[in-house]
Amino acid sequence: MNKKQYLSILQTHLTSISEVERKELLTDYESHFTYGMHNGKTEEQIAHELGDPFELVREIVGDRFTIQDPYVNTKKTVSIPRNIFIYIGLFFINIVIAPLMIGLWSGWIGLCAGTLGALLSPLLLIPEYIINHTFSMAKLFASIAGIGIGLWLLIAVMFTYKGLLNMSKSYLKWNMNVSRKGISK
Amino acid sequence: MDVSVQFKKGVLELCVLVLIQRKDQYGYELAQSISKHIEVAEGALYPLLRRLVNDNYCTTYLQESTEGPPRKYYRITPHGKTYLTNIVFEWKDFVTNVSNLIEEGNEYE
Repeated sequence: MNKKQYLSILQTHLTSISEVERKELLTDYESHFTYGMHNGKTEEQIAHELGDPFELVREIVGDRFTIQDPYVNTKKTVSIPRNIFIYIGLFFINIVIAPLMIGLWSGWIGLCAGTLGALLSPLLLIPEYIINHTFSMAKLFASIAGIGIGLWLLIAVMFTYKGLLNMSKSYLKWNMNVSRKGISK
Repeated sequence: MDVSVQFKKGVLELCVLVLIQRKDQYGYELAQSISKHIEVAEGALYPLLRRLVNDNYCTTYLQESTEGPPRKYYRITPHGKTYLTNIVFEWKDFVTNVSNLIEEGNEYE
Protein backbone atom coordinates (compact mmCIF):
# COMPACT_ATOMS: atom_id res chain seq x y z
CA MET A 1 0.00 0.00 0.00
CA ASN A 2 1.39 3.43 -0.86
CA LYS A 3 1.00 6.78 0.84
CA LYS A 4 -1.92 7.91 -1.28
CA GLN A 5 -3.90 4.74 -0.70
CA TYR A 6 -3.20 4.80 3.01
CA LEU A 7 -4.26 8.40 3.44
CA SER A 8 -7.35 8.02 1.28
CA ILE A 9 -8.55 5.11 3.40
CA LEU A 10 -8.23 7.30 6.47
CA GLN A 11 -9.88 10.22 4.71
CA THR A 12 -12.90 8.28 3.55
CA HIS A 13 -13.49 6.36 6.76
CA LEU A 14 -12.88 9.03 9.35
CA THR A 15 -16.17 10.71 8.66
CA SER A 16 -17.62 10.56 12.15
CA ILE A 17 -14.98 12.82 13.68
CA SER A 18 -14.92 16.57 13.23
CA GLU A 19 -13.45 18.20 10.14
CA VAL A 20 -10.70 19.91 12.17
CA GLU A 21 -9.66 16.71 13.85
CA ARG A 22 -9.65 14.73 10.64
CA LYS A 23 -7.47 17.30 8.93
CA GLU A 24 -5.10 17.44 11.85
CA LEU A 25 -4.71 13.67 11.98
CA LEU A 26 -4.26 13.43 8.23
CA THR A 27 -1.54 16.09 8.41
CA ASP A 28 0.13 14.06 11.14
CA TYR A 29 0.14 10.94 9.00
CA GLU A 30 1.20 12.81 5.93
CA SER A 31 4.21 14.33 7.66
CA HIS A 32 4.99 10.92 9.08
CA PHE A 33 5.26 9.63 5.51
CA THR A 34 7.38 12.63 4.51
CA TYR A 35 9.84 12.17 7.36
CA GLY A 36 9.98 8.45 6.78
CA MET A 37 10.86 8.99 3.14
CA HIS A 38 13.53 11.51 4.10
CA ASN A 39 15.03 8.74 6.17
CA GLY A 40 15.24 6.49 3.14
CA LYS A 41 12.15 4.38 3.66
CA THR A 42 9.70 3.46 0.92
CA GLU A 43 6.03 4.41 1.13
CA GLU A 44 5.12 0.75 1.48
CA GLN A 45 7.53 0.29 4.35
CA ILE A 46 6.12 3.27 6.21
CA ALA A 47 2.53 2.16 5.60
CA HIS A 48 3.45 -1.24 6.99
CA GLU A 49 5.00 0.32 10.09
CA LEU A 50 1.95 2.48 10.67
CA GLY A 51 -0.19 -0.65 10.75
CA ASP A 52 -3.52 -1.63 9.24
CA PRO A 53 -5.36 1.62 8.36
CA PHE A 54 -8.76 0.06 8.97
CA GLU A 55 -7.70 -1.02 12.43
CA LEU A 56 -6.52 2.54 12.95
CA VAL A 57 -9.85 4.00 11.87
CA ARG A 58 -11.64 1.69 14.23
CA GLU A 59 -9.44 2.89 17.07
CA ILE A 60 -9.83 6.58 16.29
CA VAL A 61 -13.57 6.46 15.77
CA GLY A 62 -13.91 4.30 18.86
CA ASP A 63 -12.03 6.92 20.89
CA ARG A 64 -14.20 9.74 19.60
CA PHE A 65 -17.32 7.80 20.27
CA THR A 66 -16.89 7.75 24.01
CA ILE A 67 -15.71 11.35 24.17
CA GLN A 68 -18.39 12.80 21.94
CA ASP A 69 -21.27 10.82 23.37
CA PRO A 70 -22.77 13.65 25.46
CA TYR A 71 -22.57 15.96 22.50
CA VAL A 72 -24.45 13.49 20.31
CA ASN A 73 -27.12 13.12 23.00
CA THR A 74 -27.80 16.82 23.44
CA LYS A 75 -28.13 17.12 19.71
CA LYS A 76 -30.81 14.44 19.68
CA THR A 77 -33.02 16.04 22.31
CA VAL A 78 -33.18 19.28 20.33
CA SER A 79 -35.91 17.82 18.14
CA ILE A 80 -39.11 18.80 19.98
CA PRO A 81 -41.82 16.87 18.07
CA ARG A 82 -39.77 13.75 18.44
CA ASN A 83 -39.62 14.29 22.19
CA ILE A 84 -43.34 14.87 22.41
CA PHE A 85 -43.97 11.54 20.72
CA ILE A 86 -41.50 9.82 22.96
CA TYR A 87 -43.25 11.17 26.06
CA ILE A 88 -46.69 10.25 24.72
CA GLY A 89 -45.43 6.78 23.93
CA LEU A 90 -43.88 6.43 27.35
CA PHE A 91 -47.10 7.61 28.95
CA PHE A 92 -49.14 4.86 27.27
CA ILE A 93 -46.56 2.21 27.98
CA ASN A 94 -46.47 3.28 31.61
CA ILE A 95 -50.27 3.26 31.89
CA VAL A 96 -50.07 -0.47 31.15
CA ILE A 97 -46.80 -1.41 32.80
CA ALA A 98 -46.96 0.66 35.98
CA PRO A 99 -50.16 -0.99 37.32
CA LEU A 100 -48.68 -4.34 36.39
CA MET A 101 -45.59 -3.51 38.44
CA ILE A 102 -47.73 -2.29 41.32
CA GLY A 103 -49.74 -5.50 41.06
CA LEU A 104 -46.61 -7.62 41.18
CA TRP A 105 -45.29 -5.71 44.17
CA SER A 106 -48.65 -6.06 45.94
CA GLY A 107 -48.48 -9.76 45.27
CA TRP A 108 -45.05 -9.75 46.83
CA ILE A 109 -46.32 -7.88 49.89
CA GLY A 110 -49.04 -10.51 50.17
CA LEU A 111 -46.41 -13.22 50.03
CA CYS A 112 -44.51 -11.42 52.79
CA ALA A 113 -47.61 -11.28 54.94
CA GLY A 114 -48.28 -14.97 54.36
CA THR A 115 -44.72 -15.82 55.31
CA LEU A 116 -44.89 -13.74 58.45
CA GLY A 117 -48.18 -15.34 59.41
CA ALA A 118 -46.86 -18.85 58.87
CA LEU A 119 -43.69 -18.15 60.82
CA LEU A 120 -45.53 -16.60 63.76
CA SER A 121 -48.40 -19.11 63.82
CA PRO A 122 -47.23 -20.79 67.10
CA LEU A 123 -47.69 -17.45 68.86
CA LEU A 124 -51.38 -17.64 68.11
CA LEU A 125 -51.65 -20.55 70.51
CA ILE A 126 -50.93 -18.17 73.40
CA PRO A 127 -53.97 -15.90 73.01
CA GLU A 128 -56.11 -18.94 72.34
CA TYR A 129 -54.97 -20.43 75.62
CA ILE A 130 -55.56 -17.17 77.46
CA ILE A 131 -59.03 -16.58 76.02
CA ASN A 132 -60.44 -20.08 75.62
CA HIS A 133 -58.30 -21.90 78.18
CA THR A 134 -57.90 -24.73 75.71
CA PHE A 135 -54.74 -26.26 74.37
CA SER A 136 -54.76 -28.64 71.44
CA MET A 137 -51.73 -30.74 70.61
CA ALA A 138 -52.84 -30.97 66.97
CA LYS A 139 -52.82 -27.20 66.67
CA LEU A 140 -49.31 -27.04 68.12
CA PHE A 141 -48.04 -29.48 65.49
CA ALA A 142 -49.94 -27.69 62.78
CA SER A 143 -48.29 -24.43 63.79
CA ILE A 144 -44.86 -26.07 63.78
CA ALA A 145 -45.61 -27.22 60.24
CA GLY A 146 -46.54 -23.56 59.67
CA ILE A 147 -42.99 -22.53 60.61
CA GLY A 148 -41.63 -24.98 58.07
CA ILE A 149 -43.87 -23.60 55.37
CA GLY A 150 -42.92 -20.09 56.47
CA LEU A 151 -39.22 -20.84 56.04
CA TRP A 152 -39.81 -22.12 52.55
CA LEU A 153 -41.88 -19.06 51.75
CA LEU A 154 -39.07 -16.87 53.12
CA ILE A 155 -36.77 -18.21 50.42
CA ALA A 156 -39.42 -17.48 47.81
CA VAL A 157 -39.83 -13.97 49.23
CA MET A 158 -36.12 -13.27 48.94
CA PHE A 159 -35.89 -14.58 45.40
CA THR A 160 -38.93 -12.72 44.15
CA TYR A 161 -37.71 -9.56 45.92
CA LYS A 162 -34.44 -9.62 44.01
CA GLY A 163 -36.19 -10.39 40.75
CA LEU A 164 -38.80 -7.67 41.18
CA LEU A 165 -36.23 -5.12 42.30
CA ASN A 166 -34.04 -5.79 39.27
CA MET A 167 -37.02 -5.66 36.98
CA SER A 168 -38.29 -2.37 38.42
CA LYS A 169 -34.83 -0.83 38.39
CA SER A 170 -34.13 -1.73 34.79
CA TYR A 171 -37.58 -0.58 33.78
CA LEU A 172 -37.02 2.79 35.48
CA LYS A 173 -33.60 3.09 33.89
CA TRP A 174 -35.02 2.30 30.49
CA ASN A 175 -37.67 4.97 31.01
CA MET A 176 -35.07 7.56 31.92
CA ASN A 177 -32.81 6.60 29.03
CA VAL A 178 -35.64 6.82 26.55
CA SER A 179 -36.85 10.17 27.78
CA ARG A 180 -33.33 11.57 27.87
CA LYS A 181 -31.98 10.55 24.50
CA GLY A 182 -34.75 8.91 22.54
CA ILE A 183 -35.12 5.23 21.79
CA SER A 184 -31.67 3.74 21.38
CA LYS A 185 -30.76 1.75 18.34
CA MET B 1 0.63 -12.48 19.20
CA ASP B 2 -2.77 -10.94 19.71
CA VAL B 3 -2.32 -10.78 23.46
CA SER B 4 0.99 -9.01 23.04
CA VAL B 5 -0.67 -6.37 20.82
CA GLN B 6 -3.13 -5.61 23.60
CA PHE B 7 -0.30 -5.33 26.14
CA LYS B 8 1.55 -2.87 23.96
CA LYS B 9 -1.48 -0.71 23.35
CA GLY B 10 -1.99 -0.45 27.08
CA VAL B 11 1.53 0.71 27.87
CA LEU B 12 1.95 2.91 24.80
CA GLU B 13 0.69 5.92 26.71
CA LEU B 14 3.24 5.32 29.45
CA CYS B 15 6.09 4.89 26.94
CA VAL B 16 5.16 8.05 25.06
CA LEU B 17 5.04 10.14 28.23
CA VAL B 18 8.38 8.77 29.42
CA LEU B 19 9.97 9.62 26.09
CA ILE B 20 8.64 13.16 25.87
CA GLN B 21 9.58 13.79 29.46
CA ARG B 22 13.21 13.13 28.52
CA LYS B 23 13.02 15.62 25.68
CA ASP B 24 10.47 17.25 23.43
CA GLN B 25 9.93 15.10 20.38
CA TYR B 26 7.91 15.22 17.19
CA GLY B 27 5.66 12.46 15.99
CA TYR B 28 7.98 10.64 13.64
CA GLU B 29 10.91 10.84 16.04
CA LEU B 30 8.71 9.48 18.81
CA ALA B 31 7.61 6.59 16.60
CA GLN B 32 11.25 5.73 15.92
CA SER B 33 12.19 5.92 19.60
CA ILE B 34 9.37 3.59 20.52
CA SER B 35 9.98 1.15 17.69
CA LYS B 36 13.56 0.86 18.92
CA HIS B 37 12.22 -0.84 22.04
CA ILE B 38 8.89 -2.38 21.17
CA GLU B 39 7.29 -3.42 17.94
CA VAL B 40 4.04 -1.52 17.66
CA ALA B 41 1.71 -0.20 14.97
CA GLU B 42 3.07 3.34 14.81
CA GLY B 43 -0.19 4.72 13.49
CA ALA B 44 -1.78 4.33 16.90
CA LEU B 45 0.60 6.98 18.19
CA TYR B 46 -1.17 9.95 16.65
CA PRO B 47 -4.65 9.42 18.08
CA LEU B 48 -2.95 8.75 21.40
CA LEU B 49 -0.96 12.00 21.19
CA ARG B 50 -4.14 13.90 20.39
CA ARG B 51 -5.75 12.43 23.45
CA LEU B 52 -2.78 13.37 25.62
CA VAL B 53 -3.05 16.94 24.37
CA ASN B 54 -6.80 16.98 24.97
CA ASP B 55 -6.26 15.68 28.49
CA ASN B 56 -3.68 18.41 29.05
CA TYR B 57 -0.85 15.94 29.68
CA CYS B 58 1.21 17.58 26.98
CA THR B 59 1.22 20.56 24.66
CA THR B 60 2.38 21.01 21.10
CA TYR B 61 4.41 23.62 19.27
CA LEU B 62 5.51 23.86 15.67
CA GLN B 63 9.12 24.21 14.60
CA GLU B 64 10.31 24.80 11.06
CA SER B 65 12.74 22.25 9.75
CA THR B 66 15.18 22.30 6.86
CA GLU B 67 13.80 19.05 5.53
CA GLY B 68 10.10 18.52 4.99
CA PRO B 69 7.11 20.17 6.65
CA PRO B 70 7.30 21.94 10.03
CA ARG B 71 7.61 19.53 12.91
CA LYS B 72 4.94 19.33 15.55
CA TYR B 73 6.78 18.89 18.82
CA TYR B 74 5.18 17.47 21.94
CA ARG B 75 6.13 18.78 25.36
CA ILE B 76 5.00 17.32 28.66
CA THR B 77 3.04 19.58 31.05
CA PRO B 78 3.43 19.66 34.87
CA HIS B 79 0.07 17.91 35.00
CA GLY B 80 1.44 15.26 32.63
CA LYS B 81 4.51 14.82 34.81
CA THR B 82 2.42 14.15 37.89
CA TYR B 83 0.30 11.73 35.92
CA LEU B 84 3.39 9.98 34.59
CA THR B 85 4.87 9.56 38.07
CA ASN B 86 1.62 7.93 39.10
CA ILE B 87 1.34 5.54 36.21
CA VAL B 88 5.03 4.56 36.38
CA PHE B 89 4.53 3.71 40.02
CA GLU B 90 1.38 1.78 39.25
CA TRP B 91 3.05 -0.02 36.36
CA LYS B 92 5.97 -1.16 38.53
CA ASP B 93 3.60 -2.29 41.21
CA PHE B 94 1.49 -4.15 38.68
CA VAL B 95 4.48 -5.88 37.08
CA THR B 96 5.82 -6.98 40.48
CA ASN B 97 2.42 -8.34 41.46
CA VAL B 98 1.95 -10.26 38.23
CA SER B 99 5.50 -11.66 38.45
CA ASN B 100 4.84 -12.71 42.03
CA LEU B 101 1.67 -14.41 40.92
CA ILE B 102 3.47 -16.31 38.17
CA GLU B 103 6.29 -17.32 40.55
CA GLU B 104 3.80 -18.46 43.14
CA GLY B 105 2.19 -20.66 40.50
CA ASN B 106 5.54 -22.24 39.66
CA GLU B 107 6.12 -23.34 43.26
CA TYR B 108 3.11 -25.62 43.13
CA GLU B 109 4.06 -27.32 39.90
